[in-house]
Amino acid sequence: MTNGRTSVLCGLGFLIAGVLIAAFAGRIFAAMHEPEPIYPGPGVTKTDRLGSYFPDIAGGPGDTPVFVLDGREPGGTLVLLGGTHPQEVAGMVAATVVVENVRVKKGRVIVVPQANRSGFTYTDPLEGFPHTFDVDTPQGKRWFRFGMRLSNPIHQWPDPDVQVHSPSGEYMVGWEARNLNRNYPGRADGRYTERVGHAVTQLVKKEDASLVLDMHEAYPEYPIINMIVAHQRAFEIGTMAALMLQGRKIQMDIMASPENLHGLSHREFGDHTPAFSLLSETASAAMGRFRGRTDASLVTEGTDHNYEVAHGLGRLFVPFTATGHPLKSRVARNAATIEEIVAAYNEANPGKEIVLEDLPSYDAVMEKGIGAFLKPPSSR
Amino acid sequence: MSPDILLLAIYRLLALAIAIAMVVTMLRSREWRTQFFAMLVFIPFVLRAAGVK
Repeated sequence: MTNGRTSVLCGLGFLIAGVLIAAFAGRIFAAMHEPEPIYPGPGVTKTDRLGSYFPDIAGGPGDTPVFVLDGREPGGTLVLLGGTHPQEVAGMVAATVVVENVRVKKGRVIVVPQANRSGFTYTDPLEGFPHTFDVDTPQGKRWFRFGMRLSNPIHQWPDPDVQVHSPSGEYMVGWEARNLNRNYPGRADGRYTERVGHAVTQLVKKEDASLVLDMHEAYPEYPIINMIVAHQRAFEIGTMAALMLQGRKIQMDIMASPENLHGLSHREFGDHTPAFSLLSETASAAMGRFRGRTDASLVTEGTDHNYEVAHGLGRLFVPFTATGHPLKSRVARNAATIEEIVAAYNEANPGKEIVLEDLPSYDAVMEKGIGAFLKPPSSR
Repeated sequence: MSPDILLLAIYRLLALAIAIAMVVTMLRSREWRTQFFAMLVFIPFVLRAAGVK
């Protein structure tokens, strides 16, 4: 026990210390809302926002950049989604590589690199995830944000005990209410993540998309990995693409979208729009439960001793050696998947082709690294 | 106002009330341990009230 004056001074000291610590921590949390730069490349003809397809989310945490690459000749429209799950970074980086490099000769490409923008603004507590990671370019480092699978709870709270998907009525665990890839086709008057899902669906409908590819990643102990998942109408395209990738020694399998598993892009865009809808998965050790030290290097280098041991014990669904699954190999795999899916689509849809130029090849990304296909920092 | 926004507003007000209660505890308590623990509780709740966490 101390005397009154000392107690008040002591309390003031704690108050000042608390305010200073809160201000310091608050700056870190607030900085996580700063978007990483994505520089429109030579093929980008228009930069838009998702909010223009559904004004209800305009200017809010779900609003996210949309890049339109118009072709010189008419054709089909490819919609590329990255960052549906913001910790599955290879899709977002591959989408960025497309935005910054590709020119479209025929048709049109619409790229949404960070489909769930809210999920990029936080990381789960007690997991030790990095907030950002860097990619070396010849002119310096480009930084990207590492986010989480679900929408930030500061944008949608609380989670229900049970999530009921609309319109199917399927029951899901409550936190799936914040999973964009369980909330397609979305609802205009739904909760935040459903509204973002509705906005993406509006984009696919209003732009009359012919083909949608949603790029994801999964942990190496997950069975659906190095895989294309295709809606039944897109199954032939997915199968042809997987065969061509395997012919190039890029191991990629094909799986049919389960008809009763709702809310996912490959199911709902296929059911609710005329587009051929597919989803791809690559392997990221940074997401798995076997992972060891979790830092930016695990995200970019993709090597982890624990996963090598797990592979030796036959517990994984992908090979995992000392070279791991570096980000460049996952981005290269996405680039090759885009190339083969577009080729398979073109074969089946004469007159509505999509012809891409300057899409980096698998071998080029593996040889030169991702940085060779990213614009230098501050090039806006 | 959507139900989401209303719930978040209520949550933030509750967080603010707890943060204020912790400030009062820090200033009125005669025991340094109580003041210290009030500071530890104050930090996350003021961040939640401010909407950054």
